[in-house]
Amino acid sequence: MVQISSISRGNPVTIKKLNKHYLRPELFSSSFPFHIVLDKELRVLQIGKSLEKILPFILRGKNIADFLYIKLPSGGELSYNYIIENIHNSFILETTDKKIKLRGGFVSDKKLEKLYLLCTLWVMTAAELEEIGLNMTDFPAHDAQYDYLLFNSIKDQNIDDIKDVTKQLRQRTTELETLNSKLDNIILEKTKYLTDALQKAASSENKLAAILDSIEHVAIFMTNLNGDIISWNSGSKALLGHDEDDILGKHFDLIFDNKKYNFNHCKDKFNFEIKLKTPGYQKRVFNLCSRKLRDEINSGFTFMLEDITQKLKFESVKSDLQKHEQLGQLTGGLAHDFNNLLGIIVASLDTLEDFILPGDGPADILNIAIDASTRASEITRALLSISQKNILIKEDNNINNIIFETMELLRASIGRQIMLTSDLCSRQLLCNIDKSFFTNSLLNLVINAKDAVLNSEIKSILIKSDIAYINPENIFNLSPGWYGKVSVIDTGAGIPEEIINKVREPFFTTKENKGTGLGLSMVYSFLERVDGGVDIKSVVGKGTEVALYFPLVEEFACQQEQAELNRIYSLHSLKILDTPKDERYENIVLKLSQITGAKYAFISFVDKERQWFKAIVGSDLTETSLDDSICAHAITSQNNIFLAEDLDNDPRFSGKNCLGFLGINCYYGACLTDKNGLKMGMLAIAHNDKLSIDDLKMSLLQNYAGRVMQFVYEDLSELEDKITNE
Amino acid sequence: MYGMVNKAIQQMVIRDHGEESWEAIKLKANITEDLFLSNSSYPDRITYDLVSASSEHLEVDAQLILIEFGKFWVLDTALKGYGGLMRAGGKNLKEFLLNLPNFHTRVSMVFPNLIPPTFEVHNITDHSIDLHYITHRPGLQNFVIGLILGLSTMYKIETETKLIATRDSEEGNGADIFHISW
Repeated sequence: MVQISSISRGNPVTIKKLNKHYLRPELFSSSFPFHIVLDKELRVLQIGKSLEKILPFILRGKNIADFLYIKLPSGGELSYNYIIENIHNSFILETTDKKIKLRGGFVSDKKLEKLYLLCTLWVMTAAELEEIGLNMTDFPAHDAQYDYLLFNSIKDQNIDDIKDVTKQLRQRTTELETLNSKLDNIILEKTKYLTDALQKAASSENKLAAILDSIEHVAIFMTNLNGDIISWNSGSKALLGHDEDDILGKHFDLIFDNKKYNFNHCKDKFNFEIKLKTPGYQKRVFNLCSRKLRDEINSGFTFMLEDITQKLKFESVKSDLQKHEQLGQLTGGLAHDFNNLLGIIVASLDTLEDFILPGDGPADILNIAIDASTRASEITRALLSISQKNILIKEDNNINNIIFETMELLRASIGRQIMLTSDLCSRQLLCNIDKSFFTNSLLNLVINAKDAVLNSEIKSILIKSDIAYINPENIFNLSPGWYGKVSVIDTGAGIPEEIINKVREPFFTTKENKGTGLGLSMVYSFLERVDGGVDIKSVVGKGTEVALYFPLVEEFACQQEQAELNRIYSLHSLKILDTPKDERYENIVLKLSQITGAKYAFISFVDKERQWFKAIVGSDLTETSLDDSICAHAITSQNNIFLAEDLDNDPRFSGKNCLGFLGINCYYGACLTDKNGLKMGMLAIAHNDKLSIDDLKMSLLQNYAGRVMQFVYEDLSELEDKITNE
Repeated sequence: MYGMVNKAIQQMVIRDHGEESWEAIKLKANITEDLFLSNSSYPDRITYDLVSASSEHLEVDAQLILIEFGKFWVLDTALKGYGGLMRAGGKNLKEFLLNLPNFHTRVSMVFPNLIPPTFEVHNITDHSIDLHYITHRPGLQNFVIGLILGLSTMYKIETETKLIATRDSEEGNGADIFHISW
């Protein structure tokens, strides 16, 4: 029997108590199924049940060292002394065939000189256990070997889980990387798409902005829902007068004359007419179109303001024109019928004239009737020409004749209180024009002039014709050459400089609620259609000259040009220009000055681009430009004498400043005519105030003019002789 | 329930019905976990929901699923994961059933958070045994039947199992009693 006290190392009291209870050998064997009892020579005395099951070859009485050796402590020798020396150490013993390992420790019974090996099977896996052939019941409850194996299984299972997790993580990582790559591509694609879309949007926005900004005649702007302005185009600035930088962020009431409009009550889209003050403080009528905006970015209103003042005016004028056209047609019809009747009357009167003796009382009455009928016929023809339609029928016409024929009608148009005179040049002004349009233009200009002089002290209108050469560098963009010039000169209030360039615009008028503003526009249009031009010169307070330039018929122009060239050639042939001062000529101007009392007296030769003074009293001038020359104008007159007794108020010189720097206001001249009748220049007297020049003095002037030309020819003859002699 | 149970359900569904069915069942059971860790504790609700969703998706009675799962647990999960230990449980079915209480006690020591069922064996004869199954989890009797079928297959023995008393009955007295004969 094994006493438990012999293997216990408790305190003496406990041992004493335990001494009373002995562990029977079979109980010891079942409690420690893995034990071996050895004697001092290490012979096997007893072996546990489980151990005997797996180590059946360990025979009792045999030395344990024949079957087992010490694996741990390393190098230990399985001997009694070694075991005693390491009695507190743990041992791993292994069978010599290395198939089974035992783990445990020795206890010694020194008294009985016995060793007890208390151990368990040392396996790492359940598979080894299975291979050895043990099961759970072979292990006592206090043996943790089985639990160790359970732990190992759990550890293996955890490792498997970790492997699974790792595998799954790798798989997920791969999936994520693939997804990420796809997302990158999608993002790249979307980014590119968005960038392209943004670029397109920006481009569209720029284009739209450029388009909006290029619309200068319509104000287009946007506001937010509060009415604060958030965009402003150039048309807005042009029509409403505010700079973009100043107006942005301001309330739109500022535009609408600070009237408190509340457009929130309006429908999404509305349209009405509104009167506003423009930058020039003129009341204008606008068509206001607005639309409510509701999108993701902006919400508010768009406003579009279009100035429809002109349009409304045009519609009104159009209506008037239609009435005028109808009136014209009616007038034309009446004039045509009336002219036919007048033809019968005139013919009848002519027939009647044959039956009445000249000098009788009835003859005088008949003559009056014939004259009146003839005048009535002329007026009727003028009316007929005016009422013709707007088709230009160009024919070669002498504009002097047309003016002459139209004068009666023009006088009838302006009334008797205004003096209408004409100063027509001696030359024919043959131009390829439409007679009807010419007459109409002239009528327009005269009516304009009438309106201009109505409030003037001097109510005078002059129609003047002339021949004019236009230089290559002219201001009208006209082709260089000879033109028939027709001027309508009035003594009205004049046109201020700031609006003189606007008068040609359709519907521009200075006549409050009277004119259509189309008269001058029609004149310009006509002149353009006949390759002519219009020049307006005006001095405020003095009057206005509207000059129409009609190109002369080419052949006729050549004749005119040739005539002027001939005149210049003749002048140069006289070899008088730029000759030194000569006492004979000086005496003539001096005597003239003394006789007439004129401050100025001069002999002026009119060259191609200048007038040159052979002799002059009252000034040191030797020459002036033709623009400053009264003489240059005077030589174009039909007569050999030329009078201008009040230059300041003479419509022929209105808008000009002929010798104005000398203060001249009065001019009398006699032509210096060569042997062929060509006018070389003028012998003239001039004064700042009025002069009293009677017929005698005028005759004297003409005589002295003849004397001057006599001297000229004498000098020429002398010069030629001298040249011949040399 | 430890993750190894849910993992076993997953493996059984995937083996018999494929990955897609498992994903569908997971979705139906409102399970968001991608995988179960064998030795982590999960709420019992997950296991019940998985069985219920499997039954619904596979259109198989839940009790049959539990039986199948019991067999799978023994023959696949336990034998593959703890084959040696399982076989060390006894050299035959009777010995294994006799060791079952001890086995679960040892398992409880190793898995401190596990609340395993308790088994008791009574009326032991050479050809039968009464197995008392005591657990706080309801409705798993068929799982036990499946386990016994799995063990029968493992030990290559034909058995008959009858539920002779339930936990709610007077005879059962808190335990489901299975009479196993061979």
